[in-house]
This record gives sequence, C-alpha cells and structure tokens, in this order.
Amino acid sequence: MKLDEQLFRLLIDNVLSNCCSLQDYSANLRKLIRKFRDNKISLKLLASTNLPFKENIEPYIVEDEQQQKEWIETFALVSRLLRQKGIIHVFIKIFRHPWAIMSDVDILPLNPTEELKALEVLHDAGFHFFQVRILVHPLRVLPLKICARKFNASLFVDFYPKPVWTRKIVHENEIIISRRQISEVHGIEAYVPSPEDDLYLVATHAYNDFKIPLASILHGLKVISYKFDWEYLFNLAQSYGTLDAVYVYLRALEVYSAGYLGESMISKDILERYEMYKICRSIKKWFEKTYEKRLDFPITIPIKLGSIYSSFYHCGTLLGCVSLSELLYDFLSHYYTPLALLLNELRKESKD
Amino acid sequence: MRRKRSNLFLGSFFIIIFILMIILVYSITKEPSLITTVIVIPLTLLSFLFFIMGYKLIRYEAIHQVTLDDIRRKINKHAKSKGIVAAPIAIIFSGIDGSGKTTQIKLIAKCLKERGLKYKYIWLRSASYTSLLFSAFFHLLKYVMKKDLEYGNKVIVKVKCWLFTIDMFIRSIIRIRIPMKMGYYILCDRFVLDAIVDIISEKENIDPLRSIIGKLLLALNPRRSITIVLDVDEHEAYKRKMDIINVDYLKKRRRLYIKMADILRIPIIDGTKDPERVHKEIIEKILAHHPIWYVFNKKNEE
Repeated sequence: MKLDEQLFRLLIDNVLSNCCSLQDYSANLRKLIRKFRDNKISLKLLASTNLPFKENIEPYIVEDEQQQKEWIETFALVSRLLRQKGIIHVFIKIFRHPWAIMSDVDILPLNPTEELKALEVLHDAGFHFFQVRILVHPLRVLPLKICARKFNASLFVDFYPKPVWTRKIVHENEIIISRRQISEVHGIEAYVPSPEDDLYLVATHAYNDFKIPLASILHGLKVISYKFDWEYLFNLAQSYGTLDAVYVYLRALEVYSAGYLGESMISKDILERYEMYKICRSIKKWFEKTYEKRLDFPITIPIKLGSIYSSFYHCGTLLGCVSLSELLYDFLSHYYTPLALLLNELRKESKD
Repeated sequence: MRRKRSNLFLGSFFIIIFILMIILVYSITKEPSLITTVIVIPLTLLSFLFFIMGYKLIRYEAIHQVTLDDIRRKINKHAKSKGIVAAPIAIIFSGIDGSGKTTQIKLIAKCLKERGLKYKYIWLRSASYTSLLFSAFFHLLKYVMKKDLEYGNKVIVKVKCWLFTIDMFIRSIIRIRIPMKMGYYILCDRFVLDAIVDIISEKENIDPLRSIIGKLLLALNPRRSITIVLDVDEHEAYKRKMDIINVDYLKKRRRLYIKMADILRIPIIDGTKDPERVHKEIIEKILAHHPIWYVFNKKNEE
C-alpha cells in the first residue's frame, strides 16, 4: 500500500508537470483529462485528492470506473471461454498496474486454426466481428459483445493473428506461446507472456505508436521486478530489428526509476550494450537532449527516429527472413502509422 | 460522419502524393538516361502504391462488420504457417584441432534441419585472394625466400597480415553476410578468433583489443553471432586426430585460445565430455537466450 501511495504522488506530480499551478488545470480541465487519457492512467487517481476542481472531474472518474469494470468483465469472460475449450492463446499488452486503464483485450492465438476455434467460441457467446481496413493484417479480427455495444467504446476484443503492429513484424506466435505462463490479472487467472516477451511487446507497441505512456512504464517496472532474462530480451530485439524500440523504453524506465523511485532499475551495462548500435546512439542523443531535465509523459518519439530510421533498420534486419510482400507491408506500416496518428490527433483537436 | 471525413482527408493526401510523383516522373523522363531510368521505375511503383492506398481509404469504411464465414474463408486462405521469422544468427565454433567442432556443428545442423530452417556450413580459417597473389608475386621474382614470407622479413609479414585481413573481409561478406541476408543460419567452423590465434602464432604479436588489424578482424564478426570455444586437453585432441604435427603445437595453440577467449569474453565449453552432453550444454548455456532456441529447448523437454 505504501508503494501505491508513493506512486500516487509521483503520478500526480508527473501528470501535472507542464502546469504552473493546479489552478491552471482547473481552468483547463480538458487538458488534464487528456493528459490522463494519453498516459492511460485512470482518473480514479484524482478521487482521493483535495483538488479544487474535483467535483468537475467526478463524471469522468465514473466513466473510467465503468470502463475498467467492463474491461474486467470482458477479459474474465473471454479468458474463461478460451481456457474451457482448450484454445492455445495468450493475452498480450495488458498493463497490470492498478492505476492503468485498458482500452481493449488483446489476444494472440497460436496459429490461424486456433484463432478460428476461438472466434467460433466467441460467436456462440454472442460476439459480433469487425475488421479494420487498410494495411492491417487480413486475419486481424475485432470481436465485440453486442449487448455492450458502443461503437467508439473500447471494449473490442482484439485478435492478433501474429505479433505484428499494423504490419511491422516484431515476434513469433510460437515463441511467445512456448514461454507463456499463467498469472493473475486483476484477480483473474489468465495466460500471459513471459516477463521478457511481455516487456518486449509493450515496448515495441509503444514505439510503433510513437508514444510511451506512463501506464506502460509502470507496467514495465512491475515486469522487471520478476526474474528477468536481459540477455534474451537483447537477442530478441536484435533478431527482429527492434533494438531502437526496446532501448528507448528501457531508457525511459531507467530515468523514471532513478528520478522518481530513488534507484535505477536498469543497470548501465544493459543500456551500453544497446548503445553499440548506431540507431540506439541516435535515440540516446535525442533522449538526452529532450528529456535531460525531467521526463514528461507520454514520451513522444520523433517521426525521424520512429519512422524513417526505424523502417530501414527494421526492414534491413528482416531482409531475407520474410517474403518481399511482407517486407513491403512492414516498410509501409512505418509510414502509415504516423499518418493515421496525425489524423487521430486532428480529430481529437477538433473534438476538443 | 467524422470517420468518413477523415478517410477522405487521408485518401486525398495519398492521391495528391500520387499526382506529385507522376509529375516528378514525367519531368525526369524528359531527359532519359540510365540513372533517371533507375529512379523512374521505383518512383512509378511507389506512386502507384500511393494511389491504391488513397483509393482504398476513400472507397472503404475504416471498420466494417464481417461474418464468421468471411473470416473462415480468409483463414483457410492464410492457414499455412510460415514458421519462425527471427533474423538468423551465425554460430561460430573455435578451438584446437580435434576439439569436436565438426561434431557439434553437425548436431546443431540436425536441429536446424528438423525445424525446417535454412543453414550453411562453412569452414573459414583463412582466405587467400590478394595475399596469395602477393606471395606468388614475390616468390616468382625470387625477391625473398619462402621462409621470409612466413617468418622472416618484418615488413613483408606485416603487409601479408594486412592483405590477409582484407581477404578475410571479402570472404566473410561472400560466405557469411550475404547468406545471412538471404535467411541462412551460418554454422561456421573457425573464424576470427582462429585467424587471430594464427597471426599471433606466426610471431606477429598483436593485441586484439588495441592493434588495428585485431580490431578490423574482430569487426568481421557479424553482430548476430555467437562464438564458442571448445576446449579439450591437447593429449586428448592428439588422440582424436591423426594428422596433427605434435602435442606441443596443440599445447601452444590451446594456451592462445584460452588467453584470447578470456580477453574477448568468449564462452569456453569443455569438449572432453560426451558429444550429446556438450551439445546440450551449448544450447542451455549460450543459445538458450536466443529467441529461436527456446523452441528447441521446449521441444527437447517434451
């Protein structure tokens, strides 16, 4: 409980870091809410504070609580159904920190056959299926429980046929599944990836989204507190050409833990190994320049690094390992993602 | 409605890029030459791709409902699992003659084959392209005696070392780097460490961490590679191989291998044990950290 209280204060400080005083945020409530949502942190965190604008936040806190509740219900249902039918799967990208807010339930089945079996089970349980159009993998399916239907709400169950972000190949189903373990997530027993694969998937996904939210950092801190194989993580990132993504995440973890928790959770030797690579050195240079004084969450990765440099380094590594069409899709997804994100930002701005 | 508007925006963006690229292609093709042709073809393809993406964005909804039958049809089409895609690694074995390198390579090759992975076995103790010409040239001119080329004249030995490094570079590109880019796992019988040991034993005292030749040779190791030194007692190695000059030769080289492995932090595995046990140790201790090898371990456990 003590640790939670400590984190609570740290989060408040961090989320409000850009603001001169609390009154600034009370004048601009939307900005505060946006900051929390961007960091995937529940507004429940503000419930026990004495902020002057607490009453205005109340409806949003209720909304977050509702979303969290619905997420846990969906997660419990899907996990139970898949385990009952013996479908080989693993839940990925689940932030296990109590303050983290989840937007969907991501599942990685062993292969397309297992995916089909899982979808049949969900179909019988009343789920309807949706697919995303451009560039995304043709087998990526989003089942949605129709009784809880709010089209824009984030209660989709997201089936990833492969660990690919848009079409960026980052891992292999077989390896993740062979290392999976049963763990308790929000009081529900479910299959989750090994700590190394878990951190790797969260890091590469955040990098693909050009944003590292605070919730993912808190999740990372929890993951590395278990027995952790750093050698495996490095080799994994090296094999899939994602050293840049893992490095920036580890760097953020290191700065956050050193600055806010009093001790660095990542040793210098680990980071130095990554820094032997040119792409990681470019990231180091940018990171030190941008976040020299303090971290401001979510950490935003520049397009030059996350898109251009990354596309050549990542596709260069996978050259010869995947078919040319897959490589082309992989390359294009590095450029499609920032465009889609830009569009989302514009949409959010117009909404605000 | 907002979603449709955003689709239109992004679609139009791609189509504008398409138009701009077509204009660019048109302006370049006005002055045709080999270079412009090389630029024009990829530009045309890229612009075509942008057009397709723009068209798709405008034409279709971002998220659309599908039936289970639709998914079933798609899954049947894509059901073939393509297996592991992790970029391959080079596994390099070093050590004195008779240390069991070839046996271990065969065992690893068997694992890769069972898994359906492509691999290439290469022997890379030395390479002779430029250095061979150099030696032949001086030898033909009778400028120096054969022994001078090997041990005598310091300048000639130094030049020969440099040429040898260049040769190793050429060979590593052809035999290791290009096949790795083509998706082959490389099982390498001797490489950089052996070359360094060879050079040192030829009286050219180099420090692999400080001398330029040492640094250049070490840089030849691909980044995705693992070097393993197999160590056996010189008497045991002498018993295993019949074509070795003498035990002292092995003793001297073994000492060098251990010293170099210590400096370069290369793992040393005791090769005197049963080959199966050594193989298990290699996978458990070193390769288990590599993503693909976890699958092997799991398979072995099962």
